[in-house]
Amino acid sequence: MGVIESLGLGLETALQPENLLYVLVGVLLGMVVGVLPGLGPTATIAILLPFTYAMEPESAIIMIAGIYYGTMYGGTITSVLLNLPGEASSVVTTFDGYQMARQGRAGPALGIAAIGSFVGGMVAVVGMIGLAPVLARLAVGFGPAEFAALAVLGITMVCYLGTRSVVRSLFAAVVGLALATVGVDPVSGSPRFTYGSLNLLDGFDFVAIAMGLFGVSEILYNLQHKPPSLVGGRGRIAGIWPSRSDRKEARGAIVRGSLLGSAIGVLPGGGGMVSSLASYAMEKRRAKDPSRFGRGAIEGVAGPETANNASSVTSFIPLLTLGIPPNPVLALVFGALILQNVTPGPGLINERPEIFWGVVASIIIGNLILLLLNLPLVGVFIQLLRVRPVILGAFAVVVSMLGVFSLANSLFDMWLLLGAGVVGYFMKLLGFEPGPLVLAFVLGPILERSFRQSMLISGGDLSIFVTRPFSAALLILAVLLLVSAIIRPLRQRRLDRADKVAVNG
Amino acid sequence: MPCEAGAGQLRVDAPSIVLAGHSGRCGRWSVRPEGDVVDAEGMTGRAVTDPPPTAATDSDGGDRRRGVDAEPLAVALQVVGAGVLVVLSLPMPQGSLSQPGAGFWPMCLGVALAVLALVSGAQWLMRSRTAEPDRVRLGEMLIPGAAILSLVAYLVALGEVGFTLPSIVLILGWLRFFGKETWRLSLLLAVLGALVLAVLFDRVLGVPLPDDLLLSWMLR
Repeated sequence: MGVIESLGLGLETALQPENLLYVLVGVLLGMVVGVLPGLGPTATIAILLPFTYAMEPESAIIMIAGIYYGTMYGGTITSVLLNLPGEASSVVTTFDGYQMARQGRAGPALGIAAIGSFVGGMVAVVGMIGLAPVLARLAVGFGPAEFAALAVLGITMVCYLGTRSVVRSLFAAVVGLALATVGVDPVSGSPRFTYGSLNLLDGFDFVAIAMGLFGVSEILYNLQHKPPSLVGGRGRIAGIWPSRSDRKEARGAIVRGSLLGSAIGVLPGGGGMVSSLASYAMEKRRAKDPSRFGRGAIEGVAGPETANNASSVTSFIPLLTLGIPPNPVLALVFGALILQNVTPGPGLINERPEIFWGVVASIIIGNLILLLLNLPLVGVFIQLLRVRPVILGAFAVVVSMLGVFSLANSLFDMWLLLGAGVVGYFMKLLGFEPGPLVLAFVLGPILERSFRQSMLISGGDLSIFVTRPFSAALLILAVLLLVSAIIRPLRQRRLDRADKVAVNG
Repeated sequence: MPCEAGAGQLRVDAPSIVLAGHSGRCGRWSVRPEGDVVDAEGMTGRAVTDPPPTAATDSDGGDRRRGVDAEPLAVALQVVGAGVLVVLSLPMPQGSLSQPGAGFWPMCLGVALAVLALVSGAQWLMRSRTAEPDRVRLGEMLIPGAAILSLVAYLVALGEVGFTLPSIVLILGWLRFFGKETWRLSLLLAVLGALVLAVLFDRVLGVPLPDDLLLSWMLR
């Protein structure tokens, strides 16, 4: 099937009334979540997972994708107007966006961010159309050794890019792998860690684990560390369309941000925050006068906003072509597809073209909707900050409980959800991130199966992982990351000391 | 995105809003008006350049120096976790590299955990004296702890008397005591919310919730 034909099929899927509705619901929900600090896209998608069960697989992922890139738009609004990043990837936008707002240029800041996001999204879609089929064809030749190496690299990258200690992230990831072993051993068929419990025979339910670690833990944490809510104040913005000089200044940043973001999104561990930081660093380094940055440079808004939206789109590529989710949000998409009995992998594009191309087309439509809705609704979205976090939290907990129960009508899953929430809460307190755990939990069965298959093929010879070029390259990359992760704290310590001297002196 | 809500500790100098310490444990970002934060390290998502300037304005107003150092606690937990996994994996057949048994993979993971726990321990011991560790205070766990207990009670009750009554009590309690809303608003939202959700899930979506005393009495 040619690209045009395929895209036609995709549009046909995405334009079905109910899917159109799901795109709309997804992007609106995403914008709301992006605006609200304290509930990020991961928590929201996790809480909504059970509700995707009743949908068609393509509808489910169309909606989840909408939430994901919708937050990239929504987070911008509060970053610019109030210096409050609603989610992590818009932290960077506060640097210059808020400064622009203070100079009375909130309108152009929001305008350029929306335009940049849209352009970035479209470039990423083109990248997706071009790259995904190639990658899928390549992956058909992958054996278990390559898949094991890919899974290892994915986990390593997510740990490496985490905001906290790499060692603790790795620990959390291995715990995730261990939790995934509960249930029936995929090879020998004997039960592991079930201790006679029928509930455990199928293993821990992914949805309950993800909802608990991302959703409930966040709600518990926010009870003490209250996210901000707006008391009084009104966002009033005039003149959204950026002036000619604004556009000229931002053009380069948008082009670079689109390419950079698209590239980072494909990498394991890539995602919104990494790409927006990378784009900001790049713009600042390229600028003739870097001191403008942090004082309202429009490139500092345009680049990162473009990049984070582009990367959120291209991060679907590894999942839909290799079956390897590159970051926790895509791990949730993976979970949603598994729930539907669809296993993402190299065969997906050919076997279920409506899923892949439906998502591609829905991303185009969703970005259009966001471009059109974003700016007129700014005032409305600001008002959302009036919703008090505890009210949101109380209802989110109850809805999560109902949602997880409805999947298998099992009280056990509700307890599992609560347990995972408590674990996630204490992980946060002690400096462990839930993201690597959830990602590893999803990748666990893939990793174990492909590792053991590789061992069967090679007759127990571990060198199978390094004699095959692809898996060798992937593993070398993973090892390099680990080595640099070990070296970095030492360097950081020297920097800290230098900082202290500078501050005190 | 490893840490979606980790908007981190940020200080806002807009006139009406002061916040700090939100989700600070997850990602520690400091946003300064100058915004001169991202450097080459920023590429890796580690743009932490200075110890949190917001310590004094932590949302609960606490002093960061009090409380228990979180790091040895984390290390201890890691050692225990690794030990548990290894011990539990032992009774399962291990097999060999060419014929791995059911216990082979869990054992590999247990060993990996042990190694990581050791590295964590070493990092803790070698930590520079000037480092400002995360601290865990009992005080900051009181409200989440109470919330966890309320959820345990909620699930127990839910199994006994169905969804609606426990949900009303839970939402009411959270809004009144954690959210400091008025009794009137809390009660209104709790009753309305719980009933709407119960009808939606139990009757409209047909989810077979445990027998609901209140709902079945109301919809007799």
